[in-house]
Amino acid sequence: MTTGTSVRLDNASVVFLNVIRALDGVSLEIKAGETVGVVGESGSGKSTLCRLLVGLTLPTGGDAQIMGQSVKTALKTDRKAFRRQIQMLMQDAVATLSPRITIGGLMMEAVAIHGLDRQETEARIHTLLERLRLPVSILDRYPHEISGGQARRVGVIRALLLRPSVLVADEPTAGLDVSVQGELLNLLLEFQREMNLTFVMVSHNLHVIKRVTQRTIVMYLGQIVEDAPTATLFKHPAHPYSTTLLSTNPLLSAGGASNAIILQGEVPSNAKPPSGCRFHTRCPVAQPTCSKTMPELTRTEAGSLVRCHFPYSLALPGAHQDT
Amino acid sequence: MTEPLLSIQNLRLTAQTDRGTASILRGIDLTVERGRILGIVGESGSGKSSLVSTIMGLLSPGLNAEGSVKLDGVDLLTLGSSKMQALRGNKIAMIFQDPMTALNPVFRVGTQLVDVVRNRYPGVSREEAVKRASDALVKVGLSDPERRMKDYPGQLSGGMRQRVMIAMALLCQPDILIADEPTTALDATIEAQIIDLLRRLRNEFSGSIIFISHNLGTVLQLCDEVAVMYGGHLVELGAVRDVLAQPLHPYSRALIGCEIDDQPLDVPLAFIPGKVPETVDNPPGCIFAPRCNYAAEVCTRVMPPLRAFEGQLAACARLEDIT
Repeated sequence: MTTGTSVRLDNASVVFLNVIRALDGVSLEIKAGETVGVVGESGSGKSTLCRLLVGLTLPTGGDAQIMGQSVKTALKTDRKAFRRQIQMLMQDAVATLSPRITIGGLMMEAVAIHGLDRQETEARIHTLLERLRLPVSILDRYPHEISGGQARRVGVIRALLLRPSVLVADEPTAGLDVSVQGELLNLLLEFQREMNLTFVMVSHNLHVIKRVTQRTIVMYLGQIVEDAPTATLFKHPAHPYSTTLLSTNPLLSAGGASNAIILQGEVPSNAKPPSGCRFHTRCPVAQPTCSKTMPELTRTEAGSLVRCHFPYSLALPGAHQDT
Repeated sequence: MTEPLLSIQNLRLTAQTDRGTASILRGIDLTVERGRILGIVGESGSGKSSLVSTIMGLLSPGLNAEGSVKLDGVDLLTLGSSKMQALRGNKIAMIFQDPMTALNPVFRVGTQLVDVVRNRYPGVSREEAVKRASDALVKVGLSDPERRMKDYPGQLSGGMRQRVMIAMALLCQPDILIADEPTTALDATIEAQIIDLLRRLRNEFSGSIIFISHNLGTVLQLCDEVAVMYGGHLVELGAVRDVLAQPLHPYSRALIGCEIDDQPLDVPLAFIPGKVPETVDNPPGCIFAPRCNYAAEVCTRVMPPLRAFEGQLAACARLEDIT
């Protein structure tokens, strides 16, 4: 594999119960040290993508590779070594902490499981506690005694202790107050830079994606519909679905003007995805051909990959005001 | 000057705990005029939900409310539970964050809607009630109302369930509709649909709306006034455009400053250091002083009351010095 490629998916699919196409032929390549955001609605396959990367779900078709090694093989040959390379911050941080073990005990699990040096790890835990502004006394507490925000930071420490090269974060700020989400994101970005982490972050908060990531992948019903540099995407979204998502993202600076494109209908089920382009049932600019042929991911002149027969046909309302 | 529809005076909510008296609301003064939409914003634990639960008469046992909550001149706090029960669904109604737990899972949607109509308007015939229910479903944008009426809540998507809740509220035509984070559990495109629906229904709906949200952008789009809560206090109140564009209170400023907007990428994200006050803490001075950038000696003495300043109301002793 080419050097510098950290994560690679080749036509990866995950089909549950033979009908639910949670992930459908996803191909992508993420370079080492890249910060990538994944957006999309429920059922778009964001979480399945994360689980696939960290080996919690295996592809039913295609292949997933981390650092040039197939996830399937890596899990068979040396599961622990694989886990040391890629770590995940789960959406429900509290649920990841075993309720009967103290926070300190949970952190030291890494020593027992991965054979890390005990003293060095203890020292590292203390440094990380300080960086994440957690009191040392938290080590003696049980998971139910700490707040949701603290549980997330404990999760960050547990992930970083193993010095992974890839960090996957599933909605790291969901449920956090805006008053504290900035602090957590700043810290994650600091660690990302220091450790040259490949950082994949799922979020439904487009403001967060815009601020934190270099590249954004937009998913709809198990497929990538757009894959573009974040700045390009937010200025000139190519796929009508991306445009719609961005339009529903009111900024305070817009002064309350609503430019939201209101889609008709609900997200279809991925057990029975629509024919042709999956988005055509809700797309405001769909043409007859869209219900017949599925568009391929194609590179536009602006450098975005987009899965649409008529890219850029839905303009972002109010975008012309951009300077 | 007509009397306001809802007038809350010096509302305090306390509970006895092992660690002493917990003050959940610490003296709220608030009025809601007829036909207006009031937004309430603030961090978790600021008392937003407790405030609306008090208005709805849905307090858990052990909570003690003092002060007055007058709806059309009647103090709700002095009403017995049966009188309060009669008021709910007639004069006041609520849309919850999670529509699944608000709908009864074992009754069909139609049954639940018809029950609401016949409870609200006892003289109405069954046929008429069914017709009204079905019309309400069309108004909230559900096509095929006959089929939806036969569905059980579990057969509907989250967005559809929330539409059913809004239809129910329309059928009640309450004087006050309380919406507690009605779109938090929904996907972005569905959230946009619901917000758009609430905006359009404003004219259909004769009463006032209290809208609780974490999303300041949505509050700006939907509401007329906004109340900012912190630690059981109302710290700022004013026209939504004024408060969100030019917040007076240091807490409102900090909170709005945490919104991710069009800041340059190299500036770290803003956050509010420190943590929200505990309900058992009773600082003599301003509740926000420990986290406030502008705190001075005067702030440690007494909690300043809400006072008029430049057309808004804010509870800060140093407004003159800091604006």
